Amino acid sequence: MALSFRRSYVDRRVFTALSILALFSLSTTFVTIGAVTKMVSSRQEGLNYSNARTTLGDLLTELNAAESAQRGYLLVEDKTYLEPYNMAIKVIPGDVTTLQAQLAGTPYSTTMSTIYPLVNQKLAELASTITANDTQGHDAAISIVAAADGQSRMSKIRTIITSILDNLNGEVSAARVEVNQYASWARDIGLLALGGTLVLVVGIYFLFDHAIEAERALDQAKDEFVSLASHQLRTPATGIKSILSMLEHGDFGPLTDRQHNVVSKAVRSNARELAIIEELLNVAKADAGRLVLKPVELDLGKLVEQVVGEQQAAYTTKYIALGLHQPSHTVKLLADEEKLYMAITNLVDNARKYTPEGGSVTVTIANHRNHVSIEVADSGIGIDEHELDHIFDRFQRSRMVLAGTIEGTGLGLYLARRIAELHHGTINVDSKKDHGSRFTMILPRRPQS
Amino acid sequence: MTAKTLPKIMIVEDDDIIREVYTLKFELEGFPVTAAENGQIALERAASFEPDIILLDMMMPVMGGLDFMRAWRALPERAAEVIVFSNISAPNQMNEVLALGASEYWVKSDYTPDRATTAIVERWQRRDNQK
Repeated sequence: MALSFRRSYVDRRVFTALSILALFSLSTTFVTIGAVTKMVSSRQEGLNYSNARTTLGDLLTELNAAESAQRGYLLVEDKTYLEPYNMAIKVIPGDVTTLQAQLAGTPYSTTMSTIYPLVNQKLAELASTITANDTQGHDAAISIVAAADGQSRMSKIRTIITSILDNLNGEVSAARVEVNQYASWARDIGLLALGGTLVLVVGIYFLFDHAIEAERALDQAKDEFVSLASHQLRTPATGIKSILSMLEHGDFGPLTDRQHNVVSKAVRSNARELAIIEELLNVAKADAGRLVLKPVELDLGKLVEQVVGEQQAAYTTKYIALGLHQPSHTVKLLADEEKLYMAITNLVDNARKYTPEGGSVTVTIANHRNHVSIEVADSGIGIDEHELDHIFDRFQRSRMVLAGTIEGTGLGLYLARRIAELHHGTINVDSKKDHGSRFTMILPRRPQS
Repeated sequence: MTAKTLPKIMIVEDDDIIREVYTLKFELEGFPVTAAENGQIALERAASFEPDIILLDMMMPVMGGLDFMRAWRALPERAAEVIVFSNISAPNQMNEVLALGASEYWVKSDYTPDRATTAIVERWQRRDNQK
């Protein structure tokens, strides 16, 4: 009989959609980062070219200023005319260094390197005419100007610089176009990511909704199954129970001793059948998550006394001493009476089954600060070490049960553990083969706290 | 409390064995008793039999216990006390049928004909005493 239900049911599509969402976000994020990075580098490149353009313009202006100053000085021979020249020769070396740095690594650095010697020659030419004028006289200076190819050198410099300036203008506009391009890409990808994420999130919401609905339907189906199974299994056993009970009470005429004896056996067998059905249904309910606690404030000592009282006859038949130790004061506990009764009964019943004739079983109740403990210790056959790990599993039965020596459904300890857990408590076993077992159930005084 | 105050019992039950065994037990104990296989037949029979106590099963063909209770509630004259006698122990169903006016919910597998008889007699005597 398959009594195992999967507790959690989440549609596989939800996981698929979540994975797609993750991949989508990741890829759009990467593409956006790529576009933004390119945008930043284009902007930097444009900025560099723009700066180089300014420096180059300055250089040309300063060279012009230096040359005009030299010409003016040679004409009127007044030292004040040399001021722009003196200023220019101070600034030009700095401009040259700056330009070299700004254009390093660009296609223009080679062209530029042809200018620097020309600039130096031009400056030397200007200096030498001024010196000649001061030392050898005006005519000597004029002859240097006339002889030197100062005119063509300057026009060469102007031509190269103008052509580079044109190119730099082109580079700056190209960079601006690129920056705009990448920015618009980044915005488009961002919008796509936004739209895609919205669609996926809405999709996932609906999938989750669907999964939750499906889980609810599954829960309902489980409930109906448990309900139907309980009806179908109990009905025939109840029919037999009613007939046997009437037989036993002499409703169909008096019974002989032998007849009474077999009817009693049939009654016990039927009672056990109903108990097993009950246990199976409780397991089905527990597995379906439908075992609900109805906690009441109860006297644990009284409850355990009741269990011990009920079990006493079966213990006496097997010559096993059943003892109960409890504190002198009342042990109060908030718990589900019926279920706790079932759990303790399972433990005490189990202890009897696995204890040979003449042995002893002791039930001990102890009161602690925030919890109580119920311990059932027996002098029985004990549990093999390899069996200990699985003892609370469903349908787990000891070698004795499997050998047919002891009866059991393999559900008693499983249910006891589930009931302890429902109360936020625990159940533990301490046992050694041939040296008895000790089961300890620990329950918080109030399951909610 | 004398024997002549014994209540008239109607057992509504689709399972032949349980219906027959309980009918037999109630007859042996001296109760006036009638039986019905489903809610529909029970409604018809109740009109002439006028039961004091109805033992009502839940899951039955044609008309189940819940539908019977709804129809029963709608009747102008209904003196009988309804005890639900079912093997379904689902709390939601218990609450539903109790809300419809059933006075008790007995889980069938917990009962024997003998225990049911005793419980019915005790109920009836308590009711007589209250009058």
